[in-house]
Amino acid sequence: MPESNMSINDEKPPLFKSWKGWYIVTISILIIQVVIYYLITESFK
Amino acid sequence: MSGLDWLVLLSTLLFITVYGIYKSRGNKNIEGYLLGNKSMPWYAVGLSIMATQASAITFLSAPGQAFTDGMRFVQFYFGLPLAMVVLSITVVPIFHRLKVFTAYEYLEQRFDLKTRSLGAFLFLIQRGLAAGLTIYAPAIILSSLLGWNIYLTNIFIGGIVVLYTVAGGTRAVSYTQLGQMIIILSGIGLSAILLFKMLPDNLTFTHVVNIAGKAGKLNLVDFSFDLNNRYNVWSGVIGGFFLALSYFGTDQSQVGRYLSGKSIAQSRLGLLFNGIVKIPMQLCILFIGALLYVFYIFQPQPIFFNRVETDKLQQGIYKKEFSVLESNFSTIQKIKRNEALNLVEGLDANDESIIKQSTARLIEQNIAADSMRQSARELVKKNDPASDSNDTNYIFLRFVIDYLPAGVIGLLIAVIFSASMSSTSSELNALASTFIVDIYKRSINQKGNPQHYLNASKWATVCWGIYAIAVAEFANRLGSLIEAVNILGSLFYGTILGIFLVGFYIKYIRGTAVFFAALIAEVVVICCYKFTAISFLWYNVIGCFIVVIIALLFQFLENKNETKKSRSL
Repeated sequence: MPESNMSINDEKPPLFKSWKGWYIVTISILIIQVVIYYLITESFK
Repeated sequence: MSGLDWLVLLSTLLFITVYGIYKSRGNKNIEGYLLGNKSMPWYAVGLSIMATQASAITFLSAPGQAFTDGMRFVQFYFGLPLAMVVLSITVVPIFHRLKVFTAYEYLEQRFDLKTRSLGAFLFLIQRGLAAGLTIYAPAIILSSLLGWNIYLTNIFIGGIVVLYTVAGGTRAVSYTQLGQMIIILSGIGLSAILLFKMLPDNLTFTHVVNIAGKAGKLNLVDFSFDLNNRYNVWSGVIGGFFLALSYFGTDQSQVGRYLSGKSIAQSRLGLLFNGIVKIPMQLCILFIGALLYVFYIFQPQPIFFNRVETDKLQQGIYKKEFSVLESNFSTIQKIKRNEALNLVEGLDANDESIIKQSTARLIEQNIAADSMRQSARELVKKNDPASDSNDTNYIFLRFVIDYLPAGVIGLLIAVIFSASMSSTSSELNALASTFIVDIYKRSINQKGNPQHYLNASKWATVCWGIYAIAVAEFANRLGSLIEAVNILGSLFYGTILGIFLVGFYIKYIRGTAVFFAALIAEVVVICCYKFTAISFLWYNVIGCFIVVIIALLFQFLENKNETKKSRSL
């Protein structure tokens, strides 16, 4: 395996087993925010 | 401004300039000057990305935007976290693996020289213009504070930024951005706290939120689909996603930031940190605008926030009309105050009928006040056709100058300058990198020595600085600065993104097809801007799709021709 590819595959994320965990956290936080903002908007309509 | 404010402001400016010059020591070649060392941890990458994006424009324009239009602008950022995820998966590993200095180098490796040059050229046009707006933002502060000529102020501010950037290089940009971002976040917090403290004592946080909400300032989310509506969930998620993908994936001022991460993991974490923190940060800045709305119910609100223009009106031929307008506006403000107090009473007594009545009257008075502000804008324009009749960018600034205590004014203005200098220096550095690496070194002079390219990079930074200052001279005709920057970006980003997406994902397409598809897409996007009412966020989607579809078509035709030729041979 070329050196550059090795370093890419060896990149482990902190806290989660794979990067998927971090991607799910980022998208979940976005969804939660949209829901909260929607509830705020609706409560003043 | 008091002597203390000047001391805080000038010492900060001096510190930034000296620090930039100090950090430029040891730059002996183009790599050190334009790229620095790939040594930054994730939090520094994340803060540097945020500092580059959040310039003084963000700090000045966003509260004014929320004050006039409500907080719906936050939807613009909904696509950003999704883009951060996609970039972390795809672009970051590719750029790291190829060890590129600029994003456009990839285009030559994947396609050909002309496509690389086109990508670099489109970036240089739009980022050069955007850098002008970044210089203009703090320049309006000095012109409004001291009554200086805005054109001379642009030259003064731009000159300091150019001096610091030319001397500092990338290393100084990265180091200063970290501290500047911390100062910006502290400034946002301090402003919100002081603003809230200055409201009447009997108002609780719930009252403030209710007044702002009932007046329509907390209109955070709109699910209705309308191509002509500038900010709704769909334009934010889809258009904002494409804009963020283009900005963070193909704009050298951002690519250079996360390429400075010491590993792929650090670059990825930096991007994801931005994806998680950006929306709440923007929400806080917008909330200052909503707080300002409530503040100006209980304090005398200027009918027009740019004092330079109102001073001109008071001495001009329309002074009588303006005086009548001001007096009527003041009466409406008094009614608004009473209705807001009624609303507070209704909320405390939990009396729905009082709440409904006072809300309806408050909205009625808001409409009347808006109409008077519009009349004032028209009067400003009539009085001096060359004047800036949009005061959105002055709303927060006017509050800072009129109400904040000595020392804090200087600190907040220093924060705005720091933010602006940080963004501008990053932009000028990226412009110089792209021009030298992708155009000059690649196509004009390939035989220079390291010292020659270092000097050329410094001269390129100076030239781009002069160009940006020239753009700043015309920026006062563009309305809300934050919108102007994003509209400008959207005119070019879709096309650039299309080129990169084809490069990453459609191996079938070659250089010539994507090159001509990009030219056509750019013409279509500019036509959309000129001749249609389509909201600017959609330009990113349109430009990107046109590049992909036409490149596919051209490649199909090219392959067909090649097959015919090979058969005839």
